[in-house]
Formats: sequence, structure tokens, C-alpha cells
Amino acid sequence: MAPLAVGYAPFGLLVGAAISRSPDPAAGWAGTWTIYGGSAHLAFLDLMSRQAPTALVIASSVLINTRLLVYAMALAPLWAGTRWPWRLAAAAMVVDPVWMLVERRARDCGSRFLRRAHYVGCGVTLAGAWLLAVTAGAAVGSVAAAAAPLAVAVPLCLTSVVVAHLRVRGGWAAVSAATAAALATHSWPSGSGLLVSMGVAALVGLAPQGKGKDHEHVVGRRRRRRSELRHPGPPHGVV
Amino acid sequence: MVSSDLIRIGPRAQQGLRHAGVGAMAALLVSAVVPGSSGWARPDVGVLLALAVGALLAWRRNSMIVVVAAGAAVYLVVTTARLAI
Repeated sequence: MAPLAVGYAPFGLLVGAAISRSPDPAAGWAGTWTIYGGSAHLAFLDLMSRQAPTALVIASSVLINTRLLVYAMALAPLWAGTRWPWRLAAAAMVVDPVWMLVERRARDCGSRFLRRAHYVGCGVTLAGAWLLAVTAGAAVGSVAAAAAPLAVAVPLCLTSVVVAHLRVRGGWAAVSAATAAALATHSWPSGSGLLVSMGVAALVGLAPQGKGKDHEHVVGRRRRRRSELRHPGPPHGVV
Repeated sequence: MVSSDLIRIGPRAQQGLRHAGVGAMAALLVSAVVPGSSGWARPDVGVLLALAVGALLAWRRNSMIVVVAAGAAVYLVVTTARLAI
């Protein structure tokens, strides 16, 4: 989580700077906890400063954060069988980077307890770093621009996750479709294009992919075969 | 998530949710790179080169730390070179 937390720091500073310019900084800062999402928080602050109708402010914040519903649904099985306070706490931590890292961790297996511990560690670290960055940004305001170079860490982390998904069956199709959808909708109101990309990725990724094989399985089989050639074991049936 | 004991999600739906999540990541990546959107990283040559190197390393199964460190190094080198010119 450390590289992601560093990468998100400039974004947090940016949100903090927007809070410092808002008419009610205390209320704006409280949104760090209640909204807990940079894009939605920025849209919220922007609409509030323009004195937009309350319904519009709430609707746009909800729309931008709708993707969290999908993340939560995907992560729900991990928390099945636990007490509801744990599930509630886990739900409060669902954001893009947490989903990203927990999803990566899921491929490495490990016990369910360890995966939950990893989840909580990610969530708490990010929440702490985010709160710190937003508060610092609100306190000093103009420092956000100086920290901009750090922001390159975020797209690099995203690249790491997206490229890893290309090995999954339907991954190429899903990522290509989502990228095309994102390019086509990037001028749409904040958050709406993202939802379209998610929907397109799910639909295209699940569409029949012909007789193509899961790259992960193909590579694994090749590796096993190479390993067997290098270190031939006893024939089957011989102990 | 709170009602995860009541809702059962099948493997196909799980796979769809995974695709959807990565679709969101791809969209965020596009918004961070394409000019005119509310990206966090400036869409310059340094960012594009850093992402290209990061993608190559990620494809070769390097860890996220390695991807970020190498990409950030490329970005720094390119940015410094551009400032020097």
C-alpha cells in the first residue's frame, strides 16, 4: 500500500487545497470521512462553491461513488461469515486502491484470515495517509502543485493491475473495451464515463471468447513442462 | 458487503465483477493520461514513457513496487532531461 499511499498524496493535497478555498472549510474537511473518495469529494466541493441545488450535489457524489458498489459486491465473499461490525468496517474502507490490492492478493491465495488482515491493513494505511494528505492540503493549500510529480505513482499502480488482468480469460477484451469506452466518454460528467467503462468491461469480458485459453493456465503449464524437462522426477506410480 | 451472508454471487458473476473492477481501473488510467480530463498526472512524454516501462515490467510479472520504482525513475530522468534542454 505504501507506493499507492505516496501516489495518492498529491491528490489528497489537491482535495485539501479545494477545502481551504471552500466557504465552510470545516464542513468540507468532514467530507474526508463521510464521502471518502477524492473524485466525489472534489465534485462535491466544486458544486457547493457554485451553490448548486443540494439534490444535484448529492446525486453527483452518489453517481461518482456508485462504482464502490461493484467493488463491495466483488469483495463480499471474503467477509462472509464474519460478524456484522467487521463487515461494516470493511465496507467503509472500500475504495479503488483497496480493491486493487485485495484483488491482487486474492491471486496469491493465502488463508482467508491472512487475506482479511491484509485488507484491514490496506484500508487503515490508506485511510490514515489520505486523512493526513487532505488535512495537510487544507492547512497549506498551495503546496499541492509542488507535489505533482509524485502523482505518477497512481497510474503506475493502475498499470500494474490492468496489465496483470490481461492474463485472465477475457481480460484483453475487457481492458480494450473499457479503454475505448473511457476514451469515448472522457468528456462526460464526472463518474458517468467510469460506470459505462465498468459495464462494458463486464459484458465484453464475459462474452464467449472462442476457444482461447486462460493465459495464466497456459503459462503455468509451460512452466511445469519446462521444470519437468530440467528435473525429471520418478515415473508415475513410483514412490 | 454487510449483507454478504444473504447474497450469493455465482462464479460467472464474480468474474464479471472482476472485469468491471479492472474496467474502472482502465478508465481511471485513461483519465490520468488523456489531456483535458481531470487527471492527476500530467499527460506528458515522461508519464507515457513511465507507463510504457511499467506495463512492460508488469507483463513480465514484476511486483507493483518494482513497476512503480522503475516507472518513477524513468519519469524523473525524462523530466530532468526535458528541463535541462
